[in-house]
Order: sequence, then C-alpha cells, then structure tokens
Amino acid sequence: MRGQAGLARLGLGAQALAPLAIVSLGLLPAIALGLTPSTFGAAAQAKGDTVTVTRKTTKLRNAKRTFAPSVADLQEGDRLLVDAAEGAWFEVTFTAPAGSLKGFVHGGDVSKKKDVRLSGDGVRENYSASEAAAARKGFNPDVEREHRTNNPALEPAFDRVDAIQARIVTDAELLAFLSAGGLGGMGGGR
Amino acid sequence: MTHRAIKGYGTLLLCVLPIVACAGVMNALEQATDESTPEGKLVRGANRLRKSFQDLDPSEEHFIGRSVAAELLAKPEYPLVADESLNKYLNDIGLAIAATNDEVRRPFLDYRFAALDTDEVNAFACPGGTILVTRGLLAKAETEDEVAAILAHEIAHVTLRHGLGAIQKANLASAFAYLGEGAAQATMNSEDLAKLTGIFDDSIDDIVQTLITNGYSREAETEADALGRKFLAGTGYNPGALRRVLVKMEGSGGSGGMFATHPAPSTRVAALGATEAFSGDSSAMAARTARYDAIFTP
Repeated sequence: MRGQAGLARLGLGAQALAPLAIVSLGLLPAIALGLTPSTFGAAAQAKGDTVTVTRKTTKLRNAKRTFAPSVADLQEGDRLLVDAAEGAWFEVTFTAPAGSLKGFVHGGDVSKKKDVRLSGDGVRENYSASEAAAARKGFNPDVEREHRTNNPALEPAFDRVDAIQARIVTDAELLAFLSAGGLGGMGGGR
Repeated sequence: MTHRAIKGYGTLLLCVLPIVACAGVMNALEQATDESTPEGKLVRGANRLRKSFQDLDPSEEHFIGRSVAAELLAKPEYPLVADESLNKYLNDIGLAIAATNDEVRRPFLDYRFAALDTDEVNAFACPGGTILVTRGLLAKAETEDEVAAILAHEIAHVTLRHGLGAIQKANLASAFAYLGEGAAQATMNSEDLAKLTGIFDDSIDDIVQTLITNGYSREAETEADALGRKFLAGTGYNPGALRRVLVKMEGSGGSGGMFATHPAPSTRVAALGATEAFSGDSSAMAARTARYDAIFTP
C-alpha cells in the first residue's frame, strides 16, 4: 500500500506506530470532552520546560496570586523557564535584560507550544528571522490591515473597537471595587 | 526538487496525516526524523498543520474578535451607549469576575465590556474578550449580582471559545492548510496575504452570522450558563442571580435578539437544576445595591 510505503520511507512501519497510536487514542475521550492541554492547567508542565507568553502583556508576580506584587512586566513572546507548576500557576525564571528574575505567572498567560503564533507587535525576544516569520503565520495585524483595506466602511467601527479596548483598569482600582462590594474573598458571601 | 518528487511527498503527506492525527504521534515522528532531510522537513511542515479552532492562538483569537466586534458596531441598530459611568461599571464587574476565577480564559488583551444603546435584549461575546451587552438586556437585571450574571455567561462563552467554534470547518481547514503550506517559506507574500485575508473574512462572517442570526447550540448555552454560574460563585456574587434574570426574561417575554438566538429562558432555568444556596454578607450586599442604584436608578 502506498501509505505503508510512505511510512517505510520514514523508517516507521505500522509496528513502530502502533504503541504511539494507542497512547494517542487514549487521549480521545479527553479531547471529546473539550479538555485541551490548556484545560489541564499548569500541572501539565514539567520543570525545565520553556513556555512562551501569549498575552500582549502580563506580570511576573512574587506570589501565585492575581494581585500579588509585580516582579517584572512580561510581553508577548517572552520565554520563561518553568521551575515548578503549582495549581493554575507556574513558578518560572525570566531572563530579563538586567538579569534573571524568579516569580510566578498564571498558566493561562503562556503556551508550551513551540510554534505558537504571535502578533509580532512589541515582541522583544531574540527570535531568529525564520522563527519570527513562522510565529507570524496566522491571523495577525497584517491580515487585519488587509481586511480593513478591503472594507473601508468598517473604519469608524474599528475606531469604536479601539476605544473600547483602550480602557485601562488598574489592579488597585479592581481591588478597591472587589473590596467595597465584599467580593473576591474580601468579606463577600461565598 | 522535481515536480514528480513533490507529488510523491504530497502523497506521502496524505497517507501520513490521517494515521498520525494526534499531536503525540506527530511529535514522535518529528523526533524520529532528521530535520535536514526532505522527510524531516515534510514531517515538521505537517506538524504545523493545525486542525481545529482549538489550535488558534490567543493573538489570532484577538484579531478575529476585533473584526467581529467591528462588524457588530458597524450596524446602525447597535450604537454604543455614551454613558461612561455605566461602561466603567460593566468593566469593573466583568474584570472582577475574570480576576477571581482561575478557569476564566485569559485573552491576548484583557476583557473589555461596552453597552449597546438598543432596547433589543441581547449580548455578544466576541472572541478575544470584547463583550457587548444591550441596554435592553441590562434592563432585565435589578441588582449588581444580576448584571454580573449576564456578564459571567458571556465570559463563559469566551472561555469555552464558542465564537471560534462557529467558524465553518471548511474555512478553518483552508486557513490551516494554507498556513501549513506556507510554513516552509520564509515570509508570507502578498498573494498569501490576500488568500488568507479571504479566509479570515469568511470566518468573521461565520461568527457574526451565528451571533446575530443562528445562535449557538442549546448545549453551548447550557454550558455557558453552568460555567457562568460557577464564575459568579467564584467571585462571591449570588450564583442564583442568573436564574433570576432568566425568570424575568421568561416573565416579560419578547421576540428577536436573544429570544431568537437562545433557547427559551424556561428551558435554561430547567437546565440549571436545583436552586443555589447563598448566604451573602448583608453589608456587602448593601454596598453593591448602593453602587448599582447609583448607575441604574434615575
């Protein structure tokens, strides 16, 4: 069969693939339930793994809490070395221009994928040209620009989207809101 | 490489892909082949072929969501409410929910919320976390906890990536196949960009059509209700507030908007099951009532 011939050319016959297929099929129930790797949280990461920041910005914090003090500002594309996984959080090492910093980052702010797609805006990691090109091969700012060029009537609406997304709510404001309303474990009913 | 050789490797790819559809197997293949060989390059190219909306990364979700939001805001029936205090209040509540639940999906930018100036009862969760809610729907809420219930349901839709799931599989497959083919090239040329933008346009249309006309499946709405209720409890809001909003929607009746795209409120209430226990702190409840009244009471 042509398929078997193709696998043979890769040096991987059906026998070689069988255990791998069984392992992978074992994941199917989880996939059917919508449990993607990110759903499993930070615990799926191992010490020594490298993860990439996938949010435009986030904070490296000094404890595994949302409002813990910031150790450093992180940007999309920053790579972090995982020291430990604790619940939804990673303890990581970030090699900043000024030196290595240790802290915590939420598992939802990073990806373990090696070929994660990035917008490319503000990325400061020292990516090679081929890495940077591959990372931008997705729905990115270039695609949005082309879409807007083709649909100029949408420009006023994009201005409104920009205005909505430009809103800034600081940690201090949010903490004050939660506290005043007895929310987030600050005296509210649970 | 000759045309014949390319065709041969293409056939090989077609043979390999269905068998090794799982990422673990693809990674094993990558480890088993030399990057410098044609076979190694082929496997690595195939490895970059993504398969479902789950494979879209947060930045891609963000750009899709921006265009979905722009399509909605371009419609004359959906002007924005100019009331800054209302929009700030919605953002405070929504961000409070996002910040206090580890399960909430963390988008490329943060969640942002805005009110639409229409009596239509509706809300739109754009991929990437821009959430638009109508004045008509907000009028069904009578407390901060009930406003939170509306926003928690929409945050659940973003977390569960229901918007991206509305993209027709054919459009997504086209995009991923195209990006996979182009992955071997150094940069995306203008022809690549034009083709990818065409697929992007179709994907936006799929999502907008679902949000405005078709609605998500009943299962998706039930999922979002259940997760939204969990988010409410996680923040400290009354998890029963969602049920109360739905009961009011059922009592007031209506047509169009959410009434056309969502299961009947009575169906959603039934799916929520038993009523939720909640013992709120009276001083905290009073504080929330006061700030709700400051925004909504004339």
